[in-house]
Amino acid sequence: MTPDIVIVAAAVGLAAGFLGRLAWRKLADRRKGCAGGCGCASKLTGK
Amino acid sequence: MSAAPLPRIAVVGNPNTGKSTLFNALTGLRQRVGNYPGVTVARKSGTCDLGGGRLVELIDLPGLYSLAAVSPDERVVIDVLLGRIPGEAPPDLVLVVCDATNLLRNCFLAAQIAELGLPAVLAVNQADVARERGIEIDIPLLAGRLGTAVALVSAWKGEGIADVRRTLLRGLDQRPVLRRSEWPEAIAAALAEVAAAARDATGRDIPPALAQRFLFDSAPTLAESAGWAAPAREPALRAARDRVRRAGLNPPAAEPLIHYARLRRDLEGVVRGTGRESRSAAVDRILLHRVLGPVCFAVFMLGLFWSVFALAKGPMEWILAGVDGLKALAAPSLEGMPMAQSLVTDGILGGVGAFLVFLPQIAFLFLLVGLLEDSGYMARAAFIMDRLFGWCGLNGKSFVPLLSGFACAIPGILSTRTIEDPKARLATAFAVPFMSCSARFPVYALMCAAFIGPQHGALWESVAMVGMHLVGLLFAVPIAFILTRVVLRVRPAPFVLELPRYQLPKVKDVLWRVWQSVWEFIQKAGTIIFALTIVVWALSYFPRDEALAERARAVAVAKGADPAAADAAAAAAQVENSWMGRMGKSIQPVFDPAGFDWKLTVGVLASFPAREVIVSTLGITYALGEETGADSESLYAAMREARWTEGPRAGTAIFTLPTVLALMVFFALCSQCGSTIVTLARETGGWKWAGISFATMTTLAWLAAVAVYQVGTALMS
Repeated sequence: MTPDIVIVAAAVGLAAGFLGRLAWRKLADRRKGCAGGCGCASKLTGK
Repeated sequence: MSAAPLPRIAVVGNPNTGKSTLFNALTGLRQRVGNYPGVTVARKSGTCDLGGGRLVELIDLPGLYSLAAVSPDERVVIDVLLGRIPGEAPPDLVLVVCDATNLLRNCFLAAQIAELGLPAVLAVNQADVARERGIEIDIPLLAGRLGTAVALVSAWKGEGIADVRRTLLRGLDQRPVLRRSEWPEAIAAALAEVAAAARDATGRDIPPALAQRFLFDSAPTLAESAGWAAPAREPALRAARDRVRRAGLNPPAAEPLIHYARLRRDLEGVVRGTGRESRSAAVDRILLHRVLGPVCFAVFMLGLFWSVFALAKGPMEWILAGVDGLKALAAPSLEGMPMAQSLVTDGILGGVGAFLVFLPQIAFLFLLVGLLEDSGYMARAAFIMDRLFGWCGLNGKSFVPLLSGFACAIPGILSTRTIEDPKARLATAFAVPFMSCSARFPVYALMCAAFIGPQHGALWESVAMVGMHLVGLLFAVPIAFILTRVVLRVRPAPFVLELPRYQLPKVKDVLWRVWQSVWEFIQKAGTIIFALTIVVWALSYFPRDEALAERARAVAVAKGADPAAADAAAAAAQVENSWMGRMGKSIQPVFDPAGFDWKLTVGVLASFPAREVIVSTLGITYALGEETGADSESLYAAMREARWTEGPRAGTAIFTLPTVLALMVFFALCSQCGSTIVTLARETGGWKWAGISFATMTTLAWLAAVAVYQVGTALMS
C-alpha cells in the first residue's frame, strides 16, 4: 500500500465515521426530544 | 451538602415593554432582544446580584397581555406563576414590567397577577420615551395606590437599573401583595361555586385565581390541564355564568370592566400629560400607508440585497484568494501522491472553499436584517403582510413563524406554538418551509456569482435574490389558502400587533447575533460540509479507469485538442465513470426536462439532507473535471463553459439563463432539509404531514423548474 492510498483511505474512513456518528447522535437527540436544527448546532457537531 | 436554592423572581409583562432588555440589564446574560411580538418564546433564566452579594434567579417569561391565555406559550406563564410546573415551586416574587407610555393597559396584567396572591413589585419601563412624549408618572403615588414597591426605569438607556435592584430587594424582604379589585357579590359567589365544583371533580384545592380563569375564559384549556373534564365542568360553569348574567354582567367582559374601572381610579393623578404624537407615529403614516407602505417594503428589501452584494464583494475576493493560496501551497507538498493531492485541492479545498466564500454575504445579510429588526421596522413589515395573510386564511400570528422561516425553517416551525388554533398552527407549520431560508442563500449566490452578476450586473443579481425570496411566498400563499379554507377549514382569529417605537439599533446586540450566525456557518463548514466533501470527492474520484481516460485523451488529441484540453477530456471521462457520475447519469433523465445535466443531478441528489451541499458538490465535480486544478474563479468559468456532450443539445451551453433560473426555483421550493422534516413530524405529532410536506414541495419544485426551463427556452429560441 502506498502512502497515497493510506492517506486517502484514512480521510474517507474518518469522514464517513464522523457522518455516521452525527446521524447516530441526531437519532439519540430525537429520542431525548430535541428536534435538532439551528439552535442545536453544538449537538449536531457532537460537542 | 448542596447550596440552598436562590430565591426565584419571575419577570412578566406585556409584549414590547422592554422586558427582555431589562432582564438582560439585570442579569448581564446574552439574550436575543427583538422588537416584534413573540420573540420571547422560551423561558429564560439568569442570575442577578441585587447588591451585597445577594443573588437571585430571574426567570424571563413570554410576554402576554392577559392571564386569559390560550396559546401553549402563554399557558407556561400561568403554570410557572401557579407552581404547576413539575418540580418547581411558585416564584418567591413577581416583577411586573409595565410600559410607562401605556400604563393603564399594562396595569391590567398587574391586576390579574394581584389575584394570584403572590408577592409582586412593579418596574415602569421606557421612562425615557414617556419623558419625550411629555408624560409624567408620580411613582410614590402609584406605589401607594397599588400597595407595592415601584421603580421607574429606562432599560434601553440603562437608567434606573439600580432602583429596580433595590425594589426587588424590598420585595423579597417585605413580600408585598398587590391590592386586589373588589368583585361584586354575584361574581364572588360564582367563583366560590366554580372552585367548589372543580375541587369536587379533581380532588384538589383550586386557587381563587384559577377559579377566575375557569369562570371568565371561554377556552377550556386551563380547566382541562387541571384535570376538570367536560362532563362535570360544563354544567357547573354554565350555572356559575348564569348567576353572573342574572346580576347584569357578561362573564367574559366582567373581568376587564371591573379591573379597568378600579385601575382608572387608581391611576387618577398618577399619570399626567396625555402624550404628544411620537415621531414613530409620524414616520408610520408613510411606512404603513396602504400604497406607500408596500412600496417602501419592496424598496427596503431590494436595497437590502443590493447592499449585501456590494458590501460582500471585497471580502469574498479575499476568501477566494486565500483558498487559492492554500491550494497553491498544498499541491507541491503532496507531489508524487496524485490521489491525496486531488483529495486536498479538488475535494477539501474545492468543496469547503466554494461554501466558505459566501460567509461575507451571510454576515452582511444578518447584519442588515438585524439592524432592521432592532430599529422596529420588522413589526411594520408584519403589519403590511397581515393583509395578505388574512386573505389566504392564515392567522395573523403566522407572521412571526413565517418571518423566522426566512432565517431557518426549524425555529419558524417551533414558534408556531404561539398559535392557539391547532388547525391554524398546522397550516402555518406547513407553509414555513416554503420561506427562503438562509441555507438557500449560498445556492442563489453561486448562481448569481457565476451567471447573473457577470452577464447582467449587480442590479439584476438583487432582483433575482428578491425574486427567489418571493417565489416561496408566492407558492405558500395559495397552498395556505387551500389548506385553511378547503382542507382544514380554519376559523379566522383576531390578531393584536403592538407596534414598538422606532429606535436606533443596539449595534452590540446586532453584532453579537451576526457573530453567532457566522460562527455557526464556519462550524458547519468545518464539520458537516468538510466530512461530506471528502465522501463526495471519493464517490466522484473512484473507481479509476486509466484505459478509459487514455482513450478520451486520444480522441481529444485526434480532434486537434491542445494538451491541456486533452487532459481535461481525460479527467472528465474519469468523473463520468465514477460512482457519483454513474448515479447522476442514471437519474439525470428525471431532471432532463428542467435542463439539469448529470452533474447538476448529482448536486441535487446530494442536497436532499441539506440543500447547501450542492455548492460544495458542484465545486468538487467541476474541479475534478478540470485537470488545471481549478481555482474558485475558474469554477465559475468552468460552469459557464460546460457543454452538453450528447443528445439533441450536444455542443450547446448547459447553464443558460432558463437552466440557472430553473435550478434556483427548484431550490427555492424543494424540501431539502432533513432537520426540517423531522421537526415538522414532531410538531404535527406524526409523519403524515411531514410526508405530505415533502411530497408536495418536491413535486412542486420539479414542476416549477420544468416550467421555468421549458418556457424560458421557448422564449429565448
